[in-house]
Amino acid sequence: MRFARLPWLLLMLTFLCQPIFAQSPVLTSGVAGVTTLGSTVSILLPIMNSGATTAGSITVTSASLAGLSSTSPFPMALGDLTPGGSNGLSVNFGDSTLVAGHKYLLTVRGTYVSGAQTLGFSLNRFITFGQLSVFQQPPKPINVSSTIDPSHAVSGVISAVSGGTLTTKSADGSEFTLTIPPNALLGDQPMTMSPIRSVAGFPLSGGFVAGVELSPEGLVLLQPATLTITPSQPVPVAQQIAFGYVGSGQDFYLYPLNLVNTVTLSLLHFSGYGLGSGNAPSFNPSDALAQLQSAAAALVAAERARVMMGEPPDPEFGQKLLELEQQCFLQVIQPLLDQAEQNVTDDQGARDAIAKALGWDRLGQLLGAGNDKVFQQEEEFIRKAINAISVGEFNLAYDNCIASANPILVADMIGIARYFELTGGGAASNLGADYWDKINKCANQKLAVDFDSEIKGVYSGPILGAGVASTDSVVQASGLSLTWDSAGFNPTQAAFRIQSAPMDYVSLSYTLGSYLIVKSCASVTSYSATISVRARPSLNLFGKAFGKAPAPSMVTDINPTSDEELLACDCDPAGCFEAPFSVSHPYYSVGWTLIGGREPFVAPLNATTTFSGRTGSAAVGGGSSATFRESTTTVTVNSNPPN
Amino acid sequence: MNRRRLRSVFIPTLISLGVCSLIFLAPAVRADSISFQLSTTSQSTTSGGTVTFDGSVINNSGADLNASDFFFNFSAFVPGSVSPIQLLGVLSDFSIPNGATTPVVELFEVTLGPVPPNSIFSIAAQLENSAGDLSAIQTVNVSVPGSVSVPEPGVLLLLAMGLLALALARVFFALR
Repeated sequence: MRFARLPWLLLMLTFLCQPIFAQSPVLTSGVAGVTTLGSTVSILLPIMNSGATTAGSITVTSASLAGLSSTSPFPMALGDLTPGGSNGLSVNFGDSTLVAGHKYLLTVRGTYVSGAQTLGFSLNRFITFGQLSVFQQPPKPINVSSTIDPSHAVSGVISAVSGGTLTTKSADGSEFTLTIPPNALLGDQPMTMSPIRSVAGFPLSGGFVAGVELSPEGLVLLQPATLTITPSQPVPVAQQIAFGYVGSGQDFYLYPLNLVNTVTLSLLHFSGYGLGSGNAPSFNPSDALAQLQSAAAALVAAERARVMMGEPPDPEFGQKLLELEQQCFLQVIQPLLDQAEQNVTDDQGARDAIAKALGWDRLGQLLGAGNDKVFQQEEEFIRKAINAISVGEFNLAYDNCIASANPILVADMIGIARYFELTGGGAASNLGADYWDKINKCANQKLAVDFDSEIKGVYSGPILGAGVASTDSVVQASGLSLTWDSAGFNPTQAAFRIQSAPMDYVSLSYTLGSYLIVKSCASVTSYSATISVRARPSLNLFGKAFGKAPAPSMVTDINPTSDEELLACDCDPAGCFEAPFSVSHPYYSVGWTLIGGREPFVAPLNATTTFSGRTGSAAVGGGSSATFRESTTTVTVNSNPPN
Repeated sequence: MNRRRLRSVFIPTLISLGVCSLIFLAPAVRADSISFQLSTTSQSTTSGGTVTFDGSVINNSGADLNASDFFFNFSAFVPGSVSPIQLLGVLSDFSIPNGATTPVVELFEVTLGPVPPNSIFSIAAQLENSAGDLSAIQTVNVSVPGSVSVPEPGVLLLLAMGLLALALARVFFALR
């Protein structure tokens, strides 16, 4: 009997001997809500009691987010939590060091009362701060393939001082007006606006409407130009989406339209731009600034549609644009600059960082962030970072120039000196009083240029020249030895130069038209001409707005004296056209002045660069006209060891 | 010994053992969707010192997770004297596929405040994941030099089972 009770006693004990923690409060956390308002991150964290007894007098004594202390006042009383009960804890953090899309560990500490004891608790939960921004998402670029319509292209030389306008129409009647304001260019600049005929792989649902390609590709404008597009067929405002791409279709992106009732784009550099309609598919450009423009374009498109349709504007529109700018700064620009500042030997990385930072700054100005205090602080950060990077890059370029006998590096040095002059900091005060000595020492090396060009001319009209229907001219200038001209220590004028050198017409052939004046021409006599060359360092610090900044280079201005008489023929005296022609009859001026004048060639050192396809046309008197097309031009720049 | 009496002893005993095993062994038998296995549950340090608890995390939640999808909840410790800090997923994030057991990694550390010698501090640690799954609670102890070791709950369980077996043996012999 005595033992019979024992098992029942054990059974009772087993119920009594449950783990002590199963009878205690068990505090856990729920899914947190995260909101950002200005520079404050607010987190609402549910705290639950998953245990079997009440957690009394819960008091939160501290909260931290990845070591960042909460700005909320503590202690914070949450009261009692019965089993299964929950309460929300709201804590705030300053987000100055937080990056959207990153996970941070939230730790909440405090006490609770269980029975007669006051015990501690510590709850952890990883919080994803914000969503992955476009700058953090993996790129998903779109490449298209454009075809331009050269027959409707318009070219001109735009004055740096007064600016200018180019206007053209596409074959379907869409009109394009490009307006370059004063002081947008570093110097007078030849440029071409070519209507886009078609875009293969165009991603917008409503298709391609109209667009142009602006050359020279990548030309950076110091002041925004405006491109106004008047499509031949109207597009509803809500369907209008502007776009841009690099080159002939790389890295397609959306472009913000101006908040006006015309289709107007403010441009910061030359590339392809246009108007499409409909919706864009899910994509993310490769370049951070293209990502910024695409994201801004989506915001602007919605706001523009509201405004154009008479609806009230979004009161948070400006703030949303600013937040986008800030995200780009914190997630792209600042890390790039920090990295460039730390790694002084990576000059390409430095150039890229500077180009990106300046591009970001100009975009911010364009999007209206200029008066925002945070934006101004970020601009100041950029200015200081660029100064620090530039000083390091100047010294690195000098050391490498001397060590490797590479005078092309003077491009970097003089570009940096010029940057300091332009930004008001002063080159000497930032780079040292001997900065010009260093530049001259680097440049005191031989630089030679070879020039080889073939131009074809086609003549049409009532006169048809002097019976000549087309010409094919090959000119060469070899071994042009350039000398360094510091231009009175002027970084804007310093260059390697040669004033005049022989340029030989290696061959000059022609075909005869049907209206022959010339009876026969048995041979052609070539005439020597001259050529001048100026190889000036490229201001690479401003770089291209997209993609990688260009490597150090010489922008070579080559000026063949192509207006001289070129054609002579050893003709039949009975009816032969006299040759040479005079300058006033440039029928056979196989030349550069007729395809845009003095063209700059970007010519890397110790390499041969080929140019082709540039065209031009000119009236040649008497109702005749000539069109010219460059077959190929090769420019070779070689350096030699110092004297 | 008659059969009736034998039944009256054995049936409650079997029920008792069954319930006991259900209660004590439930976490293991249930195969928690997430759990963690500590390399050691007791460590010593000095006043103000820090000890690190490492171990493995077992993910049977049905989803592939990362280390940063797991959170430690600590409770039942002496506030002011003990400060537990999660390390899992903080130092490095890594994938923990469904059905996987991680290698031994640092899970959390415990820092003591200014505490007297010969003292011992217990902390209840529970693992939670982003889906709200909870592991069984495990208690870790941190003692300062000179402290007396206290048997762990698992040891107590074994002791209780041993005593129970002795008692049952004695019942059998007595009934015979």
